[in-house]
Amino acid sequence: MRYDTIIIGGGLSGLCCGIALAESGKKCLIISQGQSTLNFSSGSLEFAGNDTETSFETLLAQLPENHPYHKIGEQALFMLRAQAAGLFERAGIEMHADIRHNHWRVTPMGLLKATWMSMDEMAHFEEENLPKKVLVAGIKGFLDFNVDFVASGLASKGIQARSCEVSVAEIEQLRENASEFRSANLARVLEGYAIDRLAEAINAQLKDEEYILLPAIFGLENATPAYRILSKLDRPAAFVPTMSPSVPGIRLQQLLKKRFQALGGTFISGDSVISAEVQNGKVMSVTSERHSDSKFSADKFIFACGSFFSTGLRASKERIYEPIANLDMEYKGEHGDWFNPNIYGEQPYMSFGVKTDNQFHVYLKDEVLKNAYATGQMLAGNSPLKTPCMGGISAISGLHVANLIINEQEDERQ
Amino acid sequence: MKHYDVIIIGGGITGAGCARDCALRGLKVLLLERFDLTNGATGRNHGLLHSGARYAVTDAEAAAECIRENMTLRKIAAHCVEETEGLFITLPEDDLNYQKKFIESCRNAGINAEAIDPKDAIRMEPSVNPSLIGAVKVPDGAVDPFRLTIYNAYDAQLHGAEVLTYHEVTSFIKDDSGRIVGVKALSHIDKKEKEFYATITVNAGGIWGSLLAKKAGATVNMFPAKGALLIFGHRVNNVVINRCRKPADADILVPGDTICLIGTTSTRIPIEECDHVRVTPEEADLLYNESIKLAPSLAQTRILRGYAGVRPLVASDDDPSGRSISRGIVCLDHETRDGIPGLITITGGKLMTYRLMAEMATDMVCQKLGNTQKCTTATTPLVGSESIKDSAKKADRSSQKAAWGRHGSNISQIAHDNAFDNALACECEVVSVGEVNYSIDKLGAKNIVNVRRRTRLGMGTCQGEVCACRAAGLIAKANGCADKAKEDLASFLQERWKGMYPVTWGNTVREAQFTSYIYQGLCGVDAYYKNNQDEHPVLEKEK
Repeated sequence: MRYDTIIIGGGLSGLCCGIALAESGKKCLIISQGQSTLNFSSGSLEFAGNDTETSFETLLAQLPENHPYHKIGEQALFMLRAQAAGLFERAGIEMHADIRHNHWRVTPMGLLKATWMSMDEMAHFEEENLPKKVLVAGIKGFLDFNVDFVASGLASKGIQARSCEVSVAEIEQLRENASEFRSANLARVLEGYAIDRLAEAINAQLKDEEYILLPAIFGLENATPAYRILSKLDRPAAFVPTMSPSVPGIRLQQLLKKRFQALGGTFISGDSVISAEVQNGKVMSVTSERHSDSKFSADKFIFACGSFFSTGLRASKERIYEPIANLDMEYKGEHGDWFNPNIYGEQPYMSFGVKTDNQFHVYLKDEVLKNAYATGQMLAGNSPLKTPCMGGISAISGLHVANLIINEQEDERQ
Repeated sequence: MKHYDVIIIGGGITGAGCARDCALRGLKVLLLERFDLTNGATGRNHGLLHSGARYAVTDAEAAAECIRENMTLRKIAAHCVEETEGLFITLPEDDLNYQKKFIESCRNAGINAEAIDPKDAIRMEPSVNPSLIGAVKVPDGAVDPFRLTIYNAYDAQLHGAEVLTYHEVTSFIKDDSGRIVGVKALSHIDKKEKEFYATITVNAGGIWGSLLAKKAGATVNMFPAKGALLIFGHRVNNVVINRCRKPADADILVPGDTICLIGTTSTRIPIEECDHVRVTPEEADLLYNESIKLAPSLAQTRILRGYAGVRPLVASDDDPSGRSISRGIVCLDHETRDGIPGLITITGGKLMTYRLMAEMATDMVCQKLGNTQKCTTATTPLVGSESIKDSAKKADRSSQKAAWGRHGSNISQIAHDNAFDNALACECEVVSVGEVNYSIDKLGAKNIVNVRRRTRLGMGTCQGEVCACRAAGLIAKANGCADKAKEDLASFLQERWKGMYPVTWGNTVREAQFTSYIYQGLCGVDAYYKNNQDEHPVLEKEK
């Protein structure tokens, strides 16, 4: 099989890139290991910055020189933010975002965190429309969403919050197995009338609260269950992410994958690319673990393999490396320099990644690979928690590289 | 003002053992610990139930003590001990002649040491280095020092003792005659200084005992010796593996519950550094390289974390230069030694000989109080270890079986008759919500680290990643303070990282990044981290 583009990695970056390419008629293959960081997504994507006032342009100017955003440029980033919203919408995912600045999301600790784009049913607020009195309604005995944590966090932001826990019969049967009481399992039983009864139980707890916050445990496949409970509640309501796994994150990945496949893309799941064949400054083919007897060939290759968590990057005691093609890396120092003893401090290893040129081409032994790109969290200079650009860098750089490929080929045709 | 017969300072195994012995002999006991039980060397060692074989060649007396206590602990502390057996292996680079001397010395000390064919050693422990050229089987085992200490303290409480953790002794109270009649202690819970009075005070402060003695006006020379260890994420061995050579660095690999441990090193450090010991990269390298020689499959096993403790080695008492170190037990009567009546110091010794140390100190206390009760700790099972076989039959769920392994017959106190209590808080170590609540209600857990020591929550493969937040939630609920529980969560993750970052490579980096993504990225827990805080927040219900 020959493809126009092969994307290694089926996370947010690979999918955004693949969808954009497929939308312009390219024949694409995504090879995915299966799990990605979307499995514990907040349901929001961060672009940059920790407040809701500063414009994205100002924030950009403050980022370190080696941040990959600078290779894209201010104007293109503006367009890409708009393009991302459109891409999600066509995949059936409603997103809330302002193209110029952040809004607030609510964390499982009840804190407000600045973010660029949120799935529409997730709690998202502008500074001026923060609710004043909130009921945080959780599920009895569900340890991965602590209603008191959410309530006490909100209180620290001056929001009056009260917590309650409810349950319905459909949930009770899950408890028979001591380890089943996790978000994805709850989402599997929370549909139809179970949702209506849960809404009733929550409504019964309401006093003078004007707003309800719920754990994001509704709708693994689509958002219907999420909107069903919102429509049955007596107050405006929204969802707060739970501890992993993330139901909205899993849904986001499912819907993007479906969109990619509907556009004719091929998605191989549960397989790992193990090597790449390089000739004359070009990647010719890649080989995967499960299809080790055949090669996957294409005109273009995109490494969207993620950071250390997704094994796009690896660390040994001696070095940091990219395990598929041994691409050139950008990182500093020796093992002792890679980690900050303060877990919450700037962690150097988080910004380590593959070296790319201004068009995100990767390098092998100091030579640029003309048909191979890197996107997302494996990019050097990306700093997901400090920028913070978790999600944003993945979607934006994935789209950007897709645009580069599309434009380049249009130029060639002309 | 409440008056006690005896105040014991120090909540390590020695102090907890003393508290139990004193309480069993009918004394009114107060145990004061400045942080949590097991916070010092007790909680930072191998958890090896020494057969004594390691000391047989160099210190016959210590070896004989070890094997006697080894056999005693198997009986009285069955729920804290795992009878694994041990091997002393000779590798090609070791001198096989040492083996003969080793076996002879073991037998002289009363240790059943038996040379076996290397092939049988591999059959007995498949993970052992197959290139071994000699093997000796000895009655080593594993002991959980957390459990052992916590149940000594709990047992003491059941016999009337009071146990106050997070109470740091700041000074001694003397009467006009110069007799020590009590202590002043600062509570780290409410930040108030309190006075406690007793006829006798026992200093069981481990390495910090020398600083305590100094406060009383006595000199006890200590030699802080740092020992570093690494924990691997799988239990690759079921039998303790030692090197059959003169004791050296990193030559013992001990299985413990779901993991295994390699250690240790030995480095003299200044006493001021005892509160802040960390594994250095050099130590991590040495431990890692030596561990692979004992069990080669460790090269493919993820390292969970490294940690270090400080051995309380003592100078022989009457050597003012303090050069000659005694590894034996040192029990000092400061009345006769320094003219300070009312104070006893018990120190030196080992985890293995804690019961004997407690017996010696308690004998001295009793003699001073005119109490004629005999010591019964060598024959009276620890709470949880009585009728242990019968209680096993009552454990039918997997979480109850795991809890039985940790708490013995005490599982009858762990709520398990409803789904909420049976739900798992920690999946790696199979710790139920009921068990977490039991550790808070009965065993005095006041933060996540305390819960971890009492239940093993967060000690398994995920190192608390999934369960730390749940534990924080349960502690918050029990004490009604969500914000402080979040501070504790932030501080717990930092503590865990300190043990991880020197050994973060391979899959450990994945785990580290995952933790940061979740707790910092998704949750924003970093907002609750107080950078200057050395100790974890303490959560307690307002009384």
